[in-house]
Amino acid sequence: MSGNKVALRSKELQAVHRWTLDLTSKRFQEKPPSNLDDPVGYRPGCVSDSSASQESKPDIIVKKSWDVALGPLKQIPMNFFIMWMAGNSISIFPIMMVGMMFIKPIQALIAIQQTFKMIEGRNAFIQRFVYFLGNIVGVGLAMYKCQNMGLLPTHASDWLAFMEPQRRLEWSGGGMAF
Amino acid sequence: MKVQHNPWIFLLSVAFLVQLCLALYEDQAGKFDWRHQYIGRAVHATFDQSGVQGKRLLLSTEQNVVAAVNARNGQLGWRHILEEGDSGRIDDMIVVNNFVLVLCSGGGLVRAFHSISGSLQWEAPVPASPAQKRGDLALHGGDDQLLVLSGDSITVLNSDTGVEVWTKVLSNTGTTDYVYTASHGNDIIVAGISPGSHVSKVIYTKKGEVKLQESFPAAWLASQEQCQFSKGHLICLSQDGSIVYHARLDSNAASFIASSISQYGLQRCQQLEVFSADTELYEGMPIFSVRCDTKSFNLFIIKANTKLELLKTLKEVDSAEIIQFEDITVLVTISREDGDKATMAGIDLETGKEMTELSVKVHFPQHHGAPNQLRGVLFKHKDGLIGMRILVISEDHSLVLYQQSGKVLWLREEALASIMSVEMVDLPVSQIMAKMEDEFGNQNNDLLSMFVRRFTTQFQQVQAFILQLRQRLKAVRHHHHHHQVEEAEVEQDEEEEEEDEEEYLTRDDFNLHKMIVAVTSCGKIFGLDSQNGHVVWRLYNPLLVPFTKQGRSVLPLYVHRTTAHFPHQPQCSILGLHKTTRKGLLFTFHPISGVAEENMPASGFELNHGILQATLLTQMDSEFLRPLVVLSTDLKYFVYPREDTDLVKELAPSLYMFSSNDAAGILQGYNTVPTDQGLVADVMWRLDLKREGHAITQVVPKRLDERVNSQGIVLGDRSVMYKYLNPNLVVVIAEGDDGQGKNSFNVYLVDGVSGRLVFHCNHKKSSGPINVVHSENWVVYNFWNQKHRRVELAILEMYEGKEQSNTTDFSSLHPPPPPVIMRQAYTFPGHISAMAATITEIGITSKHILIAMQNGGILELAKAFLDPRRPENPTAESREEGLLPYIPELPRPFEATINYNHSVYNIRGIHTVASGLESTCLVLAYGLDLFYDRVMPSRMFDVLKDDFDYFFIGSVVVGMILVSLLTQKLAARKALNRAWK
Repeated sequence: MSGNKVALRSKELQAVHRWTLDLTSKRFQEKPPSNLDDPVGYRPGCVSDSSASQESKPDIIVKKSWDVALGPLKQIPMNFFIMWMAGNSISIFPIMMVGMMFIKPIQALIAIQQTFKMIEGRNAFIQRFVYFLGNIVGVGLAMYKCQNMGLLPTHASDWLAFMEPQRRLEWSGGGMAF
Repeated sequence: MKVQHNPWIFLLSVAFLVQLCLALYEDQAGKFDWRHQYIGRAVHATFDQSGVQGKRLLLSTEQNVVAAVNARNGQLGWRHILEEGDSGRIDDMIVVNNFVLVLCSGGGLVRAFHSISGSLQWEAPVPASPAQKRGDLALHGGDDQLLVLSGDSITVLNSDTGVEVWTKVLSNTGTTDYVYTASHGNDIIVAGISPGSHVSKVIYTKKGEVKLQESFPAAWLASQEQCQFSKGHLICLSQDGSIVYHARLDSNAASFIASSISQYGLQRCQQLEVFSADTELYEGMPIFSVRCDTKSFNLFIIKANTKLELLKTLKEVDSAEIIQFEDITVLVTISREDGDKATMAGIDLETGKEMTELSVKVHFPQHHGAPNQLRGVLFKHKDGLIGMRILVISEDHSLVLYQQSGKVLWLREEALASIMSVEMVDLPVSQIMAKMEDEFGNQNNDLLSMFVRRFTTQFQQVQAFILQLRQRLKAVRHHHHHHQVEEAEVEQDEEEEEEDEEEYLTRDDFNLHKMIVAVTSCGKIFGLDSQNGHVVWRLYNPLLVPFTKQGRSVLPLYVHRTTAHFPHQPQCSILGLHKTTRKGLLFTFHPISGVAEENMPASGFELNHGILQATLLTQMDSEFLRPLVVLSTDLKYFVYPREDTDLVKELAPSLYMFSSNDAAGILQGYNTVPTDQGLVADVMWRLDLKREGHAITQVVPKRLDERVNSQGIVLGDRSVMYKYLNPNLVVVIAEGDDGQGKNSFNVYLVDGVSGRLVFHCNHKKSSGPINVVHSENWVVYNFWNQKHRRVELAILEMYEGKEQSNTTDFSSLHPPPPPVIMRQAYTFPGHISAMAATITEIGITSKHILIAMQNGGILELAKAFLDPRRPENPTAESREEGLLPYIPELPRPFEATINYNHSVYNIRGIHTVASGLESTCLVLAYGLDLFYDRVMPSRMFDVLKDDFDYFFIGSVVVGMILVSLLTQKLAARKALNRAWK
C-alpha cells in the first residue's frame, strides 16, 4: 500500500523529477524508528539534558547581547593606546588613525538598527543604551584627539577669515598744508 | 627630557627655510622691467668742440648732473650725478681741451671730467659759497689757468692738473655778492654787486696782487638779476626797462654809462641776455639782447667807444643764439607759430641778411612750451655747403636736436626726471568687450534684439581672436625675418605699431598693462605705457605750477573715475597753483587719451582762492565719479565737479579734514558745516606739536585704495590679536633741534577726525631724512641715528588686543580703547632715499617693503623682518607663529635687489599699485631715473610660471590617455582569449 502511495506521488511528480523521496511526508514523521535499539555504546544521559539547556537559553542571549553592547567600550583602551602612540603632529599616519577612529563608531551608529535587532532579552534596553553610549564615547574620543591635534575650529582664530572688515563711519582727508 | 637647541643651528635652519626673497633669473632681466635714465633740466649746454665737431653734447643740469649726450641719437654717453642738494649744485660749466670743468660752489669743489670717457680727471677744493651766491668760472692765460670765484674768494687753478696757483680772499663788508670773474689780458677782473648801493670791482695781476680796487655807485640797481656780464662789461637794465646801463670793468675809474633805449623806439624792455661772439670783428665788444613790449627781439652791441648800437630788430623771437663758424657769425633764432610749427632762421650778423640755407620750418609741438635756450653748431659738408645742428631747450625741460633740414634727430623728455606725482590707470576694455558690458547696462531692450546683439558681439569676438592669432603668427615670422634686415624697416614697423595702438591699449587678461600718468614739476603731464615706458601722450599746461612751501613741493593728481564704468569716460585732475595769480588751478583730463576736459578753459579751472587742503572722496556720485573736495585758505569748501555739491552736503556730517600749519607746528582738524553760503569748515581741534622748536615735516595718512584682508593675527596659542585698523589714523613727524646742535624728532599717531593722540614717541639724537610707510596697522620709518651713526628702521604695530570692541563699525568719535603699541628698531646697512609698501588687489598676499637706496638699488624686504614681535629668545610658540628671532641688523641680500644692475639714482618716490593678479604688485620708482617692475611678495601663486613646460606636461597627458586606451584594448583582447580557452 505504502509502495503504491510512493509510486503514486512519484507519478504525480514525474513531470518535475524522475524520482523524489519526500522525507517530510507524514509517513516518516508519524512513524519514527523509535522501536530500534540504542546503538552500541550509547548510554542514555550522556547527552546533555535537553530540558535543562532549554532552561538556560535566555541567559545566553543576555550574555551574547552584553558582548555586543560592550564591544565599543572595550575598544576604547586600545584606541587610547593607539592615539597616544600616534602623537599630535599632523601627518598622514595620525590623520589616518583619527579617520579610522571616526569612521568606526559613526558606521556603527548608522547601522545601529541592525545591531539593536541582535540585542534581545530582558536587559535589551540597557544594553542598547550601553552600545549607543560606547559608540558616542568612541566619537568623543576621536573628537578629543582632533582637539589635541588642533583640528577643531574652537578658537577665534579659526573664524578670523570670515570676519568682515569694520565699516568706516567717518571720513577724513588732508595732510601737509599746500 | 628637554632637548637642547643650539641657537646657531636654529638660526641657520631659519635662514634656509625662510626663503622670503626670490632672485631673478638671467633671462628674465628686462622682461617685465624697464629703466629710463634722465639728466634733468639742462642749465649749461655745449657742443663738444674736440674731435669730430658736434658729435657730443655736454650738459649740466639743475639736478646736479653732468652728462654727455650723443648728438646723433640722443643716447647718454656718460653721466655723473653729483651730490644731492646744495652741495652738488653746479654753478658754472666750461668745456676746454677735452675737459668739462664744473664748479660746485655749494660743496666747494671744482671737478674736471674727460669729455669723451667721462672719467674724473681732477678735483680741487675751493671755498664754498652759500645757496644764494653763485660762483663763476673763467679761463685765463690762454686757457692754461682757471679762475674760480666762489664764496668771497678768487682761486686760480691750473686747468690741466687742478693744482692751485694762488687764492685770495676778497674784502667784503657783507653786502657785496661777488658774481663775476673774467680775464683781461694779463689781469683778472672780479666784480660784485651790492643791490641798492654800488658795484665793486677788483683787478688782480697775474701773480695775484691787487692792482686796483674800487667801487662805483649804482643806487638804481635793485637786484642781481637785472645785470649780465660779458667781455669785461657789466650790462644792466633798469627796472622799468627803459635804460640800459653798461660799465667797462677793465678800465680805471669805471662808471655806468646810461643809454636810454627809447631813442630806438623801444619801451618796457626786459629779459636781458648776453651772447658771446669771439671773432676778430667783435673782439671786446659785448653783444646783448632785450625783449620789449611789442615782443620784439633787439640785438645791441657795445662798441669800443662805449657807444650802444642797435644791430638788429626781429619780431617775436622765442630764443636766439650766436654761432660762429670759421669767419661767419650767425644769429640763429627760433620762433613758435600756430599748429605745432616753428621757424628757425639764420642771420649773418655782418651783412644783416638772412641766410636762406639756414632758414627752415620745423616741427615744434605745442607741448614743448616756449623754447628757452638754443645751442648750435655749424660745420661744412664735403661739398662745401654749411651744415647746422641746433639744440633747443624748451620750457618743458625737453631737449630737441634739429638737423639743418628741419628734421628732428632726437628728443629727450627731461621733465620725467622731476615727476611730482604718479597714478597708474587701468586701460579700457576692448571695444567688443565694451559692447558686451553695454548690454548689461541697457535693460529696456526686447529679448530678440538682445539675442541678436549677443550673437553678433560673440561672433566679433571670435573674429578678433582669429585675427589676433594670425597677427601673432605673422609677428613671429616677421621677427625671425627681422634679424637680417636693415634698420630702414624699423621705422616702418613703428608706423605699423601706431596703427595697432588702438587695439594695443586695451586691458589684458590680468590687468598688468596700465597707463602711467605722471605729473612733472614744470606742469607737463605724461601718459606712459607701462610695458616699455614709451610716452603715449603728453599735455603741457605752462600755467600750472606746484604748491611750494619750505622747499617741499607737491602737485597732487587725483583719479576721479577709472575705466571700470564703461559708458562713462575715465577722468583725472591735477590741483596746482596758477603761475601768475598764485591761486588754485584745477586741470582735468582723460588719462588714457591725454585730452584735456572739453568744457574746461585751456589753462584749467581757476579756483580764485588760496588752497589749504584737498581730498578725493571715496564715495561716488550717480555717474561713478568721485568728487574732489577742496578746502580754501579762508575755510570754504569747493567741490569739483560742482554738481556734486549736494552729495557732499549729504555726507557733510561724516566728513572731516585736517591740515598742518607747518611753520607753527600745529595740526588742525576741521569739520564740514553746510550753510546758506555753501559748505564751510569749522576748526574742531588743534594739536600743538611745536615742542622744543619742532616743526611738522610730514603728515602721512593711509592709502585709500588699500584693502586689509585679515582683521587680526593668530598667535602661537591660536588666539587672535585684533588689529587696530583706524582708517583715519595719520602719522605726523615733527623734526627739529634743541638749539645745541642735538637733533631729535617726534612721531605722533593722530586720529584725523577727532584729533586724539593715539601714540607719541621721541627719538633723541636722531635726524632725517625720514621716510614713512603707513599701511594696515603698522608704520615703518627710517632715520639717521646720530649717536651710533647708522640708519635705523623703526616699526610700530597697533593692536586692539584679544577682544574687538566693535566688530562691525569703526568710529573715531567713539573710539575703541587705546591700542597696544608694539615697537622695535633695526639697523639698516645703507642710506634710504624712498620707501613704499607693496599693495595687492584684496590684500591676501603678504606685504613687502620696497626700499630705494642711495647706491642705486631698490631692495625688496619682507615685512616679516620688520616685525616688532621678533623675540630675542625664541619659544615654541613664537616658532609656531613663524616669527624670526630678533637680530638687530636687517639683511640686505643682493638677490633681493629688484633692479639688479640697473641702478637708479635720486629716487624720490616709489608708487605701487595692485594688478588684476592677487600675487602681483606693480612698482614704479621715480626720481632722476625711472624704474618699473612687477613684484610678487608671496611668489607667483595664481599663475603658472613663465618656464612652465607646457609641451612636456601636455605630451605626458596625451601619452597617458593613449596608453590607457591601448591597455584597455589589450586587456579586452586578453580577457576574450582567456574565455576561449
